[in-house]
Amino acid sequence: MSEITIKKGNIVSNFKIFAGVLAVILLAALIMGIIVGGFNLGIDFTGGTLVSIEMGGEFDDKDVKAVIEKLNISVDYTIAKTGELGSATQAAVRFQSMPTVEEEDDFITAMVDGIKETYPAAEAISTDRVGATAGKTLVQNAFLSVLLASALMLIYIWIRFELVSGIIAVITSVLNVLIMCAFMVFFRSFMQINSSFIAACLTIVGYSINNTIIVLDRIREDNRRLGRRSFTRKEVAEHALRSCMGRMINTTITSLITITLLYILGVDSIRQFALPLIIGIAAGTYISIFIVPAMWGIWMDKAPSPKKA
Amino acid sequence: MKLKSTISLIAVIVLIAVGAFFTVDSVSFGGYRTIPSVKAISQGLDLRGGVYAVYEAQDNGEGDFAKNFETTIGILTTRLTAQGYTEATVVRQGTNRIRVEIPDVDDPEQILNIIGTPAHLTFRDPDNNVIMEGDTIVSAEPMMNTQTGEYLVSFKLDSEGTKKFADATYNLIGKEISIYLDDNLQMSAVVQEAITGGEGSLTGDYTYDSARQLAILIQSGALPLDIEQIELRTVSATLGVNALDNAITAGVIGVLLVMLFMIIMYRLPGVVATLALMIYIIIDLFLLAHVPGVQLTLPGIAGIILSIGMAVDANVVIFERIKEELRSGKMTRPAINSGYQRAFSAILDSNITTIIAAVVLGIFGTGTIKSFAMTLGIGVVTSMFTAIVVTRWLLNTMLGFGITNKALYGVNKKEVEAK
Repeated sequence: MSEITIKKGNIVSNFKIFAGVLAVILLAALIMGIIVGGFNLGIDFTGGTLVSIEMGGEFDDKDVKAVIEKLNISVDYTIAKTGELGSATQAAVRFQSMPTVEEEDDFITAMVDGIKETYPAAEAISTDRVGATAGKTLVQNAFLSVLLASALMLIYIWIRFELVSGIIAVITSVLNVLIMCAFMVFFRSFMQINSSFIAACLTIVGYSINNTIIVLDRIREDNRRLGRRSFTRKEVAEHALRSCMGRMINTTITSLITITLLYILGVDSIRQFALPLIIGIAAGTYISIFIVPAMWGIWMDKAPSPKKA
Repeated sequence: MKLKSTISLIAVIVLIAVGAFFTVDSVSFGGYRTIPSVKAISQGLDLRGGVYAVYEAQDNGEGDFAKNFETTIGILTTRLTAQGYTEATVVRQGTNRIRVEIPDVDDPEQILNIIGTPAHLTFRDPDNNVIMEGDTIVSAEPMMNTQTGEYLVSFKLDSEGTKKFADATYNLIGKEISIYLDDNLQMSAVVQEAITGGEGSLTGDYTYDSARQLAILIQSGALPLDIEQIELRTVSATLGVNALDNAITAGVIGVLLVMLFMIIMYRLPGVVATLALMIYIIIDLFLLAHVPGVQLTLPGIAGIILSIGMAVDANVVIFERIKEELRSGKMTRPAINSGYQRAFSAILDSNITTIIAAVVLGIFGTGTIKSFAMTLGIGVVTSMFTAIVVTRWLLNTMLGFGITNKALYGVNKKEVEAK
């Protein structure tokens, strides 16, 4: 083992470019958020009522609109087409909740009856009514749970690795969630943010860190082995990354296979959950490969550490 | 060695076949019938259809809120059970919210009206003074007046109530006594004589159903807190059937693709991983069916299918490591051993972080999100077992056949010789 060949490459050295890509995505989302509006918040956050009507086939949303107009309701409403991928057979009618439940039920019954005149197979398959206060708790819980999960992971990685790795893992997983949020802004025309998005974010925080740990684990091992030789931490990071990049990509592929199929074949509410997961997994792998090792290398090279081990 | 391995391998394949059979089908022997896992998994409201409501209780400043809150939950449960909704669940959510889930409901509005009613029963004199309250009623039931064919609600009072009622009726002979449910007049009657037996009845224009409902409300007692409905979701069963069918299709195709991927990438270990994946699915579904509190919901399905994709992650990490050891010139058996050893820490650490996320989700999430967290958590723990213990054992079995050709482990001869 006198001669150690170290794998070389330019992923770590091109850190600025790879980080720049993420910065551009975040910036674009910010600009788009300011110009056309930010998140498309669902009723879980805003409160309101959402009625899903299975129309039994393709339909024209103007027909649904005509029925609602005839009923002369006093609240704002929107109609969206949803359903399975490529076949939008459901009308999602969303409106501000009416003063009483009875009034609302009467409206829903009248609306479905009206729609049945044109689409005999129409059937209300779900009704969701969420009060305005429910959304506040949801946001609070979301922040709390991401915070708690991050803190616990920081502690765990700190114990198992060292503080720098822990901080890098937590920063990058927050970055990962931010990228997911950015894409939710890009996809605002068909993706709503509901409580399932928060679950998706937390899943990604827990799952995408796997690849981060794979590479950090490898860096830990290689650093121990190569540490006493005259390599920079950046070179060690690049070498470790090259050694385990294949498995990072392959684990991502197996996870993406199943979740992508779910997106293609699933019903609307599953797709609302699957797409953020797909984005999160893909972004997470990107971050684990292009950001994490470079961050570690740059940080450790700058750190005033007398010993190189 | 070969004989032992052959027996092991055959045993595993038979075990998988039997396990798969019991997962989807059932047999009966000795009067006992097995329940297939796929049928035993309890389905959440979004799959089977039903109604889900969240109430927020307001502190009215009377008495101990925490105690009143517990009482309120108890009363809601009693009312639902009395109505025949034995599968309904009433659970606290946070400090002041109550979540009610009722599967298979035809008329959600009706049932929610019943459970949400404060049901404060009062007996009042002609000047509208409250003479006694409904909390002294020990039992109430619907009855039919056999002479008139009208329905009524008969009730019995406890000893204190009996005395109060006797005193009140004695004082009110010839005058009217009225019974109110909340602020609605239920009935008024002129008192003919003092009622000392502690029994009475409410008459009115009741049908059997309305008499029964009133009896349930009276007997379950008044809600000590005002509750406000802040969330209400109803789902028809048709939605769930579709969702489940689609998800199963996605799951089956996904599993096959993952298996194919593993075999192409890792050859013999890939085959071992697909066997382990089958065992994983059998164990995972069994646990989901039998761990208490697990419910299958739409996000839960996503959790299961995602966890299938993740279950092989550990195998990918181990097999890549084995490849690496083989390329560095190690013999097959030591390469497998050190591959496992070196990959173990990364697998352990990464799975624990996923479990941390699942636990946090389980604590903060409610309803369908909680179910997702549970399916994910169970999946991760199960996959650690199958991907580490089961595949290792299977790989050792393969070695028992003397299969040590490195090409079968996905490594080229050239790659090895280059070292």
